[in-house]
Amino acid sequence: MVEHAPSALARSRRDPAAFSAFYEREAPRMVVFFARRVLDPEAALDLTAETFAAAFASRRGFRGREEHQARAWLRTIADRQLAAYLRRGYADRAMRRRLGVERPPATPEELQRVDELAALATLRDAVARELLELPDGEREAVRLRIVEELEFANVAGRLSISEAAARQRVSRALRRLADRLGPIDEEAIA
Amino acid sequence: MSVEEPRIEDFPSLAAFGEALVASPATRRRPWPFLGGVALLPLLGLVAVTTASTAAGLTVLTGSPIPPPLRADDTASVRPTAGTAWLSEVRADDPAGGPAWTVRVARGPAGETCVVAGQVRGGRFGIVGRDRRFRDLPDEYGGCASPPLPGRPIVAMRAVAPKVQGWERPVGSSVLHGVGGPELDEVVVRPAIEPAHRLQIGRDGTFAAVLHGLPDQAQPRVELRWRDGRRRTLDFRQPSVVPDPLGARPWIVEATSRETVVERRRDRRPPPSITCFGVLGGEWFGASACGMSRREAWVVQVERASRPVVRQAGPRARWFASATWAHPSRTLVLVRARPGAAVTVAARGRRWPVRWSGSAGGGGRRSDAGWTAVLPPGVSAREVRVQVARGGRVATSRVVGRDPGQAANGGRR
Repeated sequence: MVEHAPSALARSRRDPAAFSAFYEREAPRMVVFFARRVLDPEAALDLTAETFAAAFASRRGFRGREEHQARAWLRTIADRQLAAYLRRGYADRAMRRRLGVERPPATPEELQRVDELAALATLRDAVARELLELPDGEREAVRLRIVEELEFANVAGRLSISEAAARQRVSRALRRLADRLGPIDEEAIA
Repeated sequence: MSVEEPRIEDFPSLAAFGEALVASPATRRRPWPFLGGVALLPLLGLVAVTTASTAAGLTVLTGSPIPPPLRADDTASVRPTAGTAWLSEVRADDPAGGPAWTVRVARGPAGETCVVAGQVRGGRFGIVGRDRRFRDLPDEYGGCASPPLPGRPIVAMRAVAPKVQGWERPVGSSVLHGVGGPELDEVVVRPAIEPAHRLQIGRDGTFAAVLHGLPDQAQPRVELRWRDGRRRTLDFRQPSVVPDPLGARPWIVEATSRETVVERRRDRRPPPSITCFGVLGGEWFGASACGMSRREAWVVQVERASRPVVRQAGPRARWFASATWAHPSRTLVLVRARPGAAVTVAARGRRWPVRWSGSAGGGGRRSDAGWTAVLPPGVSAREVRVQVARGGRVATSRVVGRDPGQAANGGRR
């Protein structure tokens, strides 16, 4: 049986500097992962930074050894960040605050690069097409929440429905969109 | 679809973040075990307030949508009531070329008047962040107070930090805004360095102006007058913080005097005055310098990458600058006088802002107090006129020095 070298994440449990190698390899992929889900380059960079801040702070809790285990562990953190983002509408920054580390603002060139690497233009076209297929009420709810970035309470006010109903409507519409667009192939960028 | 493999070099902000992250202490010990129970509760309160205020500020600046204040960490007891807000028609140009600034007025839950400054783009009210994106400002944002009356306006300043900070580059701006009621007739703003100007007044006495520099640098006086002749002046000056004459970061100056009981018995001359200064926002201990003199007024030339040079400070002047001066070159005028004196400093055809910068402590005479002005670089002591008035009477009015070429001390200890 072939014994693989321990992943950089595993090494970083004792040697924080080893985290750099893990970060440099995985962070760019993570940006694309988030960008294709939130369609917003700035939010994708924020989510990536918060995910890695959480990973760095809790790296001693990683029990795996190999690279694929490290990726799975990181993906779990990323999924939680994404779920919180979709629920609240903004990227969490609790871990960055705790560590006292901020991401500098991105330049327009950097945001453009995220757009290109995640092929967001193509994805946006597809989303726009599929949006038109949604029932009117759901399409409007998604527009208010995702495009106008309104709070759920304001979405509810605009649609004259309860806040719970607004949350449900947006969630249902996003699920429907995800089903229609099909799974996003992560291997294409891995 | 072929997709290119992303690399960390594609994302400079993330690359910088990664370096800072690995250099950071990953898990900080909580300080609670080291604190006494008495100190714990006030500290928790402070943390809550700080978190609430910085959370909003950072979100605005780094790119996520602006969330309304969360109930859990909202420490303000009064917030604007949603649906009551209206926008003033006054507009102030944004110096960075962004959307114009205005003031939004709303009602509070008990009839208070609430104001918040923001930018207007396409009929929407919001803020442009450092990432240059415009975001709506939720209805719940704003500070509230009793409704304005003649003589009782609501006036506030909002700091707008620049995207790039530097010692001598533009250091942001301040949006002065407020509401004085329908009887408000005139508002004149006198920033510390920039010329005074009269503001446009909108419905219900609303007004807005964008001033150069953050509030520490702008430090304006706002003079308001109502139709019934009532007047009110609001002063945003800050003690110990001296505006920079060329619009860079403001200076922070602390003055005290040093005298022991033994020295007072031996020496009947005034005790030496010790003044320490630095640039606000800099490393106070690393970049500041301190000096000591027995003179009533003295002029200091601080020059980049050298130790401060003292002009006309006398043979007994001492300097304690331990590091090279990395901040801009300027001329400092340091004055000592009795508390309550009105000190003015004039040079090159104008008066310069003077700030009280401390009084005697640690054994010094209680009657000693220090004032400081910061002037452009290269102003010689011969050009500086200091006037000290007390009770409306000018006690001292004189030129500080003779010829700067005759400096008694060239900065050497």
